[in-house]
Amino acid sequence: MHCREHVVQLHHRIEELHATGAEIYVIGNGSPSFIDGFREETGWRGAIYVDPSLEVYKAAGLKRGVLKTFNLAAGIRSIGTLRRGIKQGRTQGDPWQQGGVLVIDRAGEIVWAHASGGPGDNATADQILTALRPAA
Amino acid sequence: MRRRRAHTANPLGWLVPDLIRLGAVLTRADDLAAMTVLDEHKQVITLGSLWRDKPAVLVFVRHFG
Repeated sequence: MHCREHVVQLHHRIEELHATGAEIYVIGNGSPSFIDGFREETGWRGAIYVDPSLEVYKAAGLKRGVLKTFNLAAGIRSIGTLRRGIKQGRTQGDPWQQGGVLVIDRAGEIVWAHASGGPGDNATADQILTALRPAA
Repeated sequence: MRRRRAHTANPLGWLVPDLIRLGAVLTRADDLAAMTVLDEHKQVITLGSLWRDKPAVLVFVRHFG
């Protein structure tokens, strides 16, 4: 549920994000066949890719673990998400893999990164915009 | 320029806490540049192409659920 909510939030700010000169790419794990359904549910019009092997997730330093998925903080954030009317769909991908955000400039420098500590621990559009302004 | 830590992968498996990652900082995307992802048509995309012409934001989702 948090994944969808995160992408929907970014979708609502996409014009601001593009105004920095950057492009936004969503990367998930699992099968490419999952992409169409996720696009339909989120309204995301930009590129969506998958990393079925999780090798990119690993190289990016993103976290993975049962206790990252199930913990008190994640539970509290899940309650908040449910109260906002967003429900969990069927998990499509690795349930223990956590997400994150990398902001990379044209020189290949990672100017900002967020490795999610668990469900709902997502980088906000404002954080990404702040990171992008010097990168653009 | 604002910078925040990005940790390298935990080689000890998925149950091990991430404490061992502390101190490891990714500052360059060189290791990622040659790696590939797939689009919905199973076409292979080289990650480095994503930031060749403009800054890129890679949003990794937990899963598609």
